[in-house]
Amino acid sequence: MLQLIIRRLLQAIPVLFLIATATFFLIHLAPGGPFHQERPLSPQVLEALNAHYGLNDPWIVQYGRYLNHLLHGELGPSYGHPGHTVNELIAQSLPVSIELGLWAWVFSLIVGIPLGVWAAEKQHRWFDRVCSTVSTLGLCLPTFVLGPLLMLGLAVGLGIGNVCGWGSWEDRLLPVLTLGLVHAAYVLRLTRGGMLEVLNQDFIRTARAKGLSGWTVLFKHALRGGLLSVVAFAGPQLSALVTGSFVVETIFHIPGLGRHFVQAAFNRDYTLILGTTLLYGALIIVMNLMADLMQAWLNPRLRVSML
Amino acid sequence: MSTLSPRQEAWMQFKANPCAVGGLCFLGFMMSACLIGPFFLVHGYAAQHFDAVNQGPSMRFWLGTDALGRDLLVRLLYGGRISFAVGFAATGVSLIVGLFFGAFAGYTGGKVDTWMMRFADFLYALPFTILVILLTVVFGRHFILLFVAIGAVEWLTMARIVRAQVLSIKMQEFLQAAVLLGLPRYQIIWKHILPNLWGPVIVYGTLTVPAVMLLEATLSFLGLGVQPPMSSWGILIHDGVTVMELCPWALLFPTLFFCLTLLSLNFLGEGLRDALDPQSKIETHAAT
Repeated sequence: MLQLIIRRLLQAIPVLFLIATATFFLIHLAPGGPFHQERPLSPQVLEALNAHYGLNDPWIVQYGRYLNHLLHGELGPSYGHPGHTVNELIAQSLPVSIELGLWAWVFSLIVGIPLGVWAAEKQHRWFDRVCSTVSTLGLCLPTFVLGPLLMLGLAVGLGIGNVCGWGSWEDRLLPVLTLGLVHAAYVLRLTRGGMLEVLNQDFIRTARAKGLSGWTVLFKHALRGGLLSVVAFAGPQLSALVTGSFVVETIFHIPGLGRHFVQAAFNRDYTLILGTTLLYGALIIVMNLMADLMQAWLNPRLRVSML
Repeated sequence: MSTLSPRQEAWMQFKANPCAVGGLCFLGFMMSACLIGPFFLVHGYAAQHFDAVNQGPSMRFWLGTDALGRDLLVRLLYGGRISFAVGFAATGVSLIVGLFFGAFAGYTGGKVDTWMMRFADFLYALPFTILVILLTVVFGRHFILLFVAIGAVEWLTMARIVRAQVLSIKMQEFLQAAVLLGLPRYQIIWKHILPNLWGPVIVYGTLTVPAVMLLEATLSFLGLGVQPPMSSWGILIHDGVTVMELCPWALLFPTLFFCLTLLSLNFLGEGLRDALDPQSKIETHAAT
């Protein structure tokens, strides 16, 4: 197991290096620079700023300097937020994105699993049909549609939750719902599918024939096997939720990593784009590794194939 | 009783699935509306009518107007053209790249295959949506490059599916017989392998289209995709959000068009999967 962890972490180094290199040259290829504004700065000021940040040097020199800083754990000063380093901005915004992703993850599991179990138990009855239809519809509802609809319906219509900010729990309600509902639909479908497969097996019939109550059969005997696909999905899903929240953060004006990334892309804030992209890459690698470890822990058969 | 060819059998199974047939019909209707609709409407997609700003649906503007007095229906149809064009073109790019990559790796086998798939795994570890956003920042206002960028990152799964399929075909007896008969290589690939690939390729292609359309709409929604005054469903939804309290239909109609199209594409893809490729379980993409 330790061998696997070490090997995967070593593999991450070339991936991150590639991300850093590709991103660096991509954003320098993009037209415009960090100090190009609609009302142009005077040439002297522009020159002074470029000289201060070393933007006049050839790309290769800038690239070498960036890599050098990166190896020392410094992501450089942000061009779009003068006076702040990228390290500071990330330290402020990363916890917000992680919190948002975690809440949405918890929400999707808490809502999806019980509904999925119940829908499987009531297969072909009205409850199952409603759940299946709603979850199919939910899968086609992107967050940038769901977010505004929730804003309109809940916040403006009923006065529940706030439409922007990240302070009280009321601020968190709508973003978490927006991010979590679509994934709850996935969890519901996976749970239902897994449970249906298990519920048709012989040992369930035996358990029922023994006279065990419906609840015991469902939650003690069937759930363990029925949840395998959900567990396989839940790990990568957490990484998708934490790194994929930039639309939700943009809609609800949440000061998280995703909003910084989108704004940095607009403002040509070179160092901030690089820093956030690298962090996203690292997050995805680490979380996928954790997901694989969790799977191996739950399903011993997988351990052999991984090593 | 007459026996049915595999194609007829697949068609029978497809026809029996009401969701898939409904999706196909809706898609046909929507695509033809987007293609020929604008020729029959009197308003242009960028024409402003200052006497009718933020109007609700009426006889003059069937689906109302936006904040700049532009006809919503025409903008929706033009936006649909963009969405469909990006969806199909990017899927085409990913199909072609994935098909060649996967088929080559699977058919050649050995070390080449190992290294090619390791390369694909390496690319899998990259944060994709982020990469597409960066690519659109660089290529920016060029609409054609947008779908090349999306297609270029969507081909990985295609390559994997094709490779797995080629590997399983290679093991089968009819192919060994073809090799033993001394058929030339191109004939084996063209006549014996390719026809067996169409099922998964078509199915996965159909499921890639909505994923790509979603990505394009997300980018446009963030302001990174298609640029105004051209319209796209993502832009229209974004514009609708800004005025949703004042005139909810400006949000409602684009949302309805977009979601129904995605839904029918997904239904169509799942129907095709059940008909063409019953064993495989290709998961659709998670929405962003």
